[in-house]
Order: sequence, then C-alpha cells, then structure tokens
Amino acid sequence: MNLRKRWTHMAVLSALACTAVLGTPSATAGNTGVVFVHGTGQQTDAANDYWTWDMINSVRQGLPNQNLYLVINCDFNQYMWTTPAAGCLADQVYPFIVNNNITDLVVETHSNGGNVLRWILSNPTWDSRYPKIISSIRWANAMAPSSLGTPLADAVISGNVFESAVGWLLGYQSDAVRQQQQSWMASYNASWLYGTAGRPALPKPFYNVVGTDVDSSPFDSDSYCGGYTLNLGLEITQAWLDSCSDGFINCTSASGAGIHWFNDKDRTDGAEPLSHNQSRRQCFSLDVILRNDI
Amino acid sequence: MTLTISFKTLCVSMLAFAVAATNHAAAAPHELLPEQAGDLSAAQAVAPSAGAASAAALNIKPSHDAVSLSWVATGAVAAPPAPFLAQSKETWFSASADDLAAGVTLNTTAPRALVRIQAIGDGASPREALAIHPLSMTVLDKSGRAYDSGAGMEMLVSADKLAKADVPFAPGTSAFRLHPSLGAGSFKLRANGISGSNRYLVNVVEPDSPYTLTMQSGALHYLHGQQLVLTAALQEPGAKHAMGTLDGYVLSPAGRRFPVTFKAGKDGAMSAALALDADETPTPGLWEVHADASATVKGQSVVRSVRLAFPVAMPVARLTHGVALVDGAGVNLSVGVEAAAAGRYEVRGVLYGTVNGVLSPLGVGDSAQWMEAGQGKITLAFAPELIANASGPFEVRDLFLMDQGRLGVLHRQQRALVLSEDDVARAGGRAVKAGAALAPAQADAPHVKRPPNPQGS
Repeated sequence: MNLRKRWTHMAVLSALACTAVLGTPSATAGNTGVVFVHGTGQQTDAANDYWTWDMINSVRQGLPNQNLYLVINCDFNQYMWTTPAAGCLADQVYPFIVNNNITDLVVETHSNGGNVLRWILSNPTWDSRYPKIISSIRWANAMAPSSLGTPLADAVISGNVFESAVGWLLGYQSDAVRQQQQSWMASYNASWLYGTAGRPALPKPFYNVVGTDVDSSPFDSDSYCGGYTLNLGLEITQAWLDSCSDGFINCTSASGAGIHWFNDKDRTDGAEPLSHNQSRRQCFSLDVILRNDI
Repeated sequence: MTLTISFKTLCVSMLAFAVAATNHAAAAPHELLPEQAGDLSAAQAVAPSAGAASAAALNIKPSHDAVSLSWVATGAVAAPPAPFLAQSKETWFSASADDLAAGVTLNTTAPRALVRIQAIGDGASPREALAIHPLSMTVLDKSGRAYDSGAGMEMLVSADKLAKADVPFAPGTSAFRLHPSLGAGSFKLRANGISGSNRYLVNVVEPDSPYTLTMQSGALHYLHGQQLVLTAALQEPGAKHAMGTLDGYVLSPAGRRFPVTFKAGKDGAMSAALALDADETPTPGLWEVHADASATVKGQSVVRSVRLAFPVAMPVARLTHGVALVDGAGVNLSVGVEAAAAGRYEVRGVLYGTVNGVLSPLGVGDSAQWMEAGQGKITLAFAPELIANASGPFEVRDLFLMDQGRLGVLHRQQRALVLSEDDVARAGGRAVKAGAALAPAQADAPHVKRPPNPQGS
C-alpha cells in the first residue's frame, strides 16, 4: 500500500470510527433524559400551554434525575423539514444531550410533533447534529401521530384553497396543516420518511399510541379531562374521520408509522378513550404509563 | 461541551475528507443496473433558468458538512407503493350572503350529510363577525317543508365552539349534520338575517354516500418535462359511473395554474395528461390537481370535488450510473453524480444480502454532501455490521438521489446494483467487524418496551 493509499485508507477507517462514536452510546455511563415534543403550532411555553405541568411533572418522576427533561418550544406551523421546525428541534435537543451527557433519551411526541421527529430520524444526513441526536435516542413514544395525515387537514386547507382561488387570501394558512393532508403525507412517506408499511425501518423505535374515540357527553366527567370545550368541538370533526379516530387523527394514521404500542382503551383507567387533546394531558393515567416507560 | 463540539467537528471533517479521499482510493468500477418500469431518472442535469433555487426562500439552510450514517433495518421492504389514491365524498362551492339568504342547493346522496359554512368575507370584516350560527339557518326539503332553529339538524357546532376545539379551521366556521330523518336528496339551505356580497365557503361532506370520486397520478414522483398522467373515476362499490363533467387544473407550488382536459376512457374512468413545467421560482410544497365532477346516477345528482398532491422536481443533478466499490470495511460505494447547480445532494439506499440462502434487507445507508456544479461523487457507506451475518450476492435497492436544499427527489431506482461476495471481500469489506453502524436500540439498550397491559398500568 503506497503512502497516499494508506492515508486514504486511514481516513476512511477514521471516518467510520467517528461514525461509530456518533452511532453508539458512549462507553462511559451516561444519563437518561426525556423530551416533550409538541404538535402543530408555534409554542413559546408548551409546558403550560400544550402539555400542562401536571403532565410533565408526573412523567418526569420516572427519571433517575428528574431535572433531565426538556420541553420543546418551536414553530411547528412550518413544514417539518424547515429550520424553524426540525432545525429548531435539533437546536434545543442537541445541547440538552451534550450538556447533560444524555445517552438514553426517551422522546414523547404528540400529533405532528411525531412527524417532525420522524423527519430527523429519516433524514440523518440533513444536519451534522442529527446522527448524535439519533444515537442518543432509546425510543420515541408518539401519541396520536398524524403519520398518514388527516382528512381534517384536507378539509381545513380546502377552505383556504378556495379563498386563494377567489382572490381573497386572508392569511389563514399553516404549512404544517398543508403538509398533514393525506396525499401530501403519502408523498413524503414514499420517499423522505421511513417507518410506514413497506418502507425501511427507522433507525430507532418509534412507538405509536392511538386514540380511538371522543367522549363528549356533558354528563360524563371524563369528557372534562383536558378541557370539555376541546372535546365538544372534536365530536363533530369525527364526521370527517373513520369510525375509529381521536377526533383529529384516524386510527390508521396514528398507527401508520413505527411500532404499535397500544390503543387508548387497552391501557387507560376505566378503558377511557383519549381524544386528540387528551393524549397530551394528564388523563386516565396516560402520564403514569409514560412515567413507567422511562 | 467544547471538547464534544471539537470532536464532532473532527468527525464531520474526517467524514468529509474520507468522502473526498475515496474518490482516489482503490475502487472497483461498476455500473448501475438498467432501470425498470416505475424508476425515476433524468436524462440530463438541468439548471433552473430562474437561477439556483434559493434555499432561504424554502426556509432551509443546507449544511456544507458531509454526513454519513447507516443502520440495521432487516424488516421487509416492499416495492415502491402505488401513487396515492385520492378519494372524495364531498364537494365545496362559494356563495354570497345574498345567495345564502335566498337559499343554496345542497345535493346529497346519503342521509346525515355534514355541512360546513366558512366565512370568507370581503377582507374588510373580521370573519368571526360573519360566522353564521346553525340555529339561524333553515333547511328546506324537496317538498318545501322548512326546518328552523336547529330542526332538521344534529350535532350543531357554532364558530366559537369549533374554534375552541383546537382544530385549525378558519375563524368564522360553523358546522352541522343534516338530521337522519330528512334522508337524502336535494335540499335548500337558507341563512336568515344576512345579506350582501360577503362570501362563504359551503362544504358538503357525505361520509355515508356510496359515491366516491377518485383521482390518481401515474407515478410517485415527476421531473420537469415529464408527462403527468391523471386518472379519475366516479365509483360506488362494484361499479363505475360516467361523469357528466369533470373539470380540473394543476396548480404548481408557486401558484401557476395549468388547465387539464379529462377524456373518457373505455373502462369508465377519465384521464388527462400534462407536460410538466417545473422551472419556476422555488416554492416549498407539492403540486396539486384540483377537480370538480358532476354526474347523474340513478336519477340522483352527484357532485364531488377532489384534490391530489404529487411532487415535481427540477433535475438539477443526476446519477451518472458509474459507481465504484471503494476499499474499506463494510460496503462503500462511490456513486457518480453530475450536478447542474450547486447544492446539498444525498444518496440513500437499502443494502440487501444473502441470509440463509435468501436475499434479505440488511440495512439503510445515507450520505449527503455539498457539491458545486459539475461531476462529483458521493460515498454511500454501509457499515461492516450490516454484512456480518450475510454473504453475497448483495444488492443495493431503492437507491435515491435527493436534492436536500430544494427538497427534490431526482432519482429512484428499485434495483440499482449487484455485488458478489468476492467483490466485497476484494475491497476489504470483511476486514473490520467492529461497530460502525447505528445498531437497533433493541439490540444494545438495556430497556425493553413493556407490552400493553390491561387497564391500570
């Protein structure tokens, strides 16, 4: 082997060694952490406004060090791949991992947050921080992920399209909602995203939790968990959806990517369904299930 | 922190060097396999006439770091899925306040149609103020019998209640379902106490209708200059129905509109074709076809609207079809890329190998780097762990060339390359068997996911 060839060979091996370091947990004992990734919307205080502290404080009790949690605040009104979405998620998760020597990360996502995380898992070479983030993840728990999109996104956008068509574009648009239309997600799932049926597996397990119904009876106290008015609105949205849905996402979509973990009624207290808003709140012991999973 | 960042930077730099260096390493030349039906490729790389796409406009900041990763993925991978089949049991139309006051026609083919009224307005008034409460609407059946104040409706949701549902319907949107006792057919919907030119969207959804308008594109991905083929049909289980009209257009992400003409085929479906011109201002998102159909089936009026998205990319780069197996542990492929414009390009694929005599998926490889216009190479590396328990022949399948900065799929090939055991062994693929892949968490983590327990975990 001449000098140039030897150096080249060394470089390849070094690079692979680097990949190995990026790709596997550190030999030294690291820490376990948990990250909460919100769904569609621009959050500045997701702990209060999206998850509630009751939920977060309950789940993080499962951590050996309860301080090692992170609540993401990003602009998930943007397309999942954009700098304000996946880029922002990496901006917040990467230093959390590095600064706290996290080698065992559990990621809790809700709704479209699952798509943003799946973007990172499926596109590890998009950003040089992604391999480190991916290698640190133990698994993701995706509550009600819109993996195959939702007919409601189609319905919402249909109105906006119509406004555009008649020239009165009044600014009610969200790229994230646009992206969650069914044919849009089908397109991304067929190329840019992994983990759906017939596609290669994601580099880390992505467990989905499926909400199967909405309970909005004013005479049932269960309707009030997570906010009664939220559930009331979700009752009619089921008209756009399959008989199995959480009021925003069809069960087929929520279970459309990754590994099915459980349907709400199989594990919640009283076999209560988790509506789309309840699957991010301290309802029917979901928080305990997630706590025990850490 | 500093040390970690430095090390990361070093790793990335080394990867970058390795990618460059492998262009000169010992390499056995190969050719990609001939493409087959359903593959996507460009005959030549074409720079956009409007100049290179501005990633900033797409809210993307492409990295200039070379990054490579592979991981074990042994689950069955299917052939590329069929293009998405859009299915619509709904229609939407626009009406003015005056129109609604006079009464608009709702054609339904099944009981319990859902009606959504969305205020669009004239841009001057807050839409919340224009919302129409379902209780202020009247439904008239075919005989002219009027149902007021919520009679004839169920599940009424006013705009303020819908807004609280956290579902992103536009402000000023209300909804209700026609009461099942009204059955199906033609109804008039009248809004009381409004007038003027403010506009409203009326969306009628019939989940229980047997009639579905379907729309499908002929391919999963398209490139500029290729022919889009669309197929549409009005179906009920077991039958297709002729459509009286099917009007549509294709809308590009930048907002250009291309009319399409659907023609009836022999099988009851209608089809249209359009030569795609994607040379436009870079805009994020997909292309869409929008179409409205009307038909009379068994004496009933059936109206449907449908939208379908599909991706179209400018072929700013292409695979040259030259590929070299580079010396090193695992399988390292130097893939030839010709770029007409600078950008961050990615090659990804699935490595198959022979396990117990059967060709089986072993793992996924993914590499990306910045390239200037011209000829270059991207090294797609599959770590040695992926082949440790497999032998040749190997195949690279589902090979993609992606344009990360402009979010374009430029090449997709179902079967791309065949390598023998000797090929891999000669290249030193068996030389190192220690960890370079991202192993599946199940294998290396001490945690085991708990199976679902009965209630009260």
